[in-house]
Amino acid sequence: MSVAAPHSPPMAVARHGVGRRAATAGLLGVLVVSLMLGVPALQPVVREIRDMNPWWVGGGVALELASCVSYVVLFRLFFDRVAAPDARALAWTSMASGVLLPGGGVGALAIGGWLMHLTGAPVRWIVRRSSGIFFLTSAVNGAAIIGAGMLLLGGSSGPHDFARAGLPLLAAALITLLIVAAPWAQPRLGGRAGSPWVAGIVEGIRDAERAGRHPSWRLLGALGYLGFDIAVLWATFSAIGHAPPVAALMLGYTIGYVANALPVPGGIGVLDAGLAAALVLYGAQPADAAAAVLVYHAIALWLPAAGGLLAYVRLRPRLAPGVGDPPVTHDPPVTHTSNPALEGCLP
Amino acid sequence: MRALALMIGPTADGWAVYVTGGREVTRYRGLGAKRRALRHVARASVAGIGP
Repeated sequence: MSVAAPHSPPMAVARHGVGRRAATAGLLGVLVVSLMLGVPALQPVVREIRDMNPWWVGGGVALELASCVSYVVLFRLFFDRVAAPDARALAWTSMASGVLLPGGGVGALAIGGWLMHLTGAPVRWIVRRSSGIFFLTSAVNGAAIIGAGMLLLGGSSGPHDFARAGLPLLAAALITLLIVAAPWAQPRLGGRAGSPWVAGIVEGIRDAERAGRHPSWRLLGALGYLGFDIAVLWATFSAIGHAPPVAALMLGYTIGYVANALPVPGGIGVLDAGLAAALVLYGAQPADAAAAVLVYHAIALWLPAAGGLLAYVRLRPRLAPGVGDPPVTHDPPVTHTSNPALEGCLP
Repeated sequence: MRALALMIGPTADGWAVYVTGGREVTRYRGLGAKRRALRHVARASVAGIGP
């Protein structure tokens, strides 16, 4: 079976785009470092980074690796019908896309889905499983915000005022309710109910709910993906010597990550500014927050990017003829709508 | 073999291995059918057997 030839030009365009964005991310990184070294007001940040405990930084790298492995574990819960080595390589490639390309987690799933589409898997199935991962990880994010907000309101160390503890809790609870209600509301709203994208997304929400109701050890991946990543930030703060309270750190992290929605390659500059500002809002010292966030971002950017690059190099020659090889044959188009492997949901 | 060329899917009495396009390759029944089907896909992926 060969379905690759029509996809070759988009692949070439995308490769070019990824290279350009990686170069832009590198240039932005150089600019940030130059800015830190050149602007006198940022000298305390440079001093904090220079004086960091290397053991804690090493611990941060290990925690980031644990976060990446957790994502692979979760990815295989939803994409459990393909060979494990291919699913692992796809998960790493998705992660690298998520950290390098604008769009964060959505971008990661889009690239993973696109790679699967190249192999002939139907779009609706890909959208459904990808949205399942997205909504499950979003639910964990929401639960983290609600839990941290409740801890702060309950008297845990950190700010206790309504704006910083209660408001994020209410916003997360409202968004969670809206998402949970979407599968119920979609058939009643009509309109775009026939769109395969909308249907796939809504089915993905159902898959995420179903996954939550049927405990599997792979669900720990959803907790580890977020939990270990927050722990990296905690480790970089600890390397400075001033780790913030856990509840404040969790809220600062989740709120700060909203800045990553801005379309900047690698989130360079915007994620650092967003995270540092949110952490300062939750009580961290500005120089500590800036130093911890910069080192966190370096770890959280390069580790998944390097792993994803290795995985993509391994996967690329086998994605389809015409990707790394000249096209060989052109079989007639295949319709996938009746593929039994792709029907149903989580077993 | 092309990556992801084979996938597994449930049948009435077990799990089957399919080419991504829909053609059934083989079927596994009984205890551990899903594990055996996945092992088939993984072996084919490593050995380069398949479409």
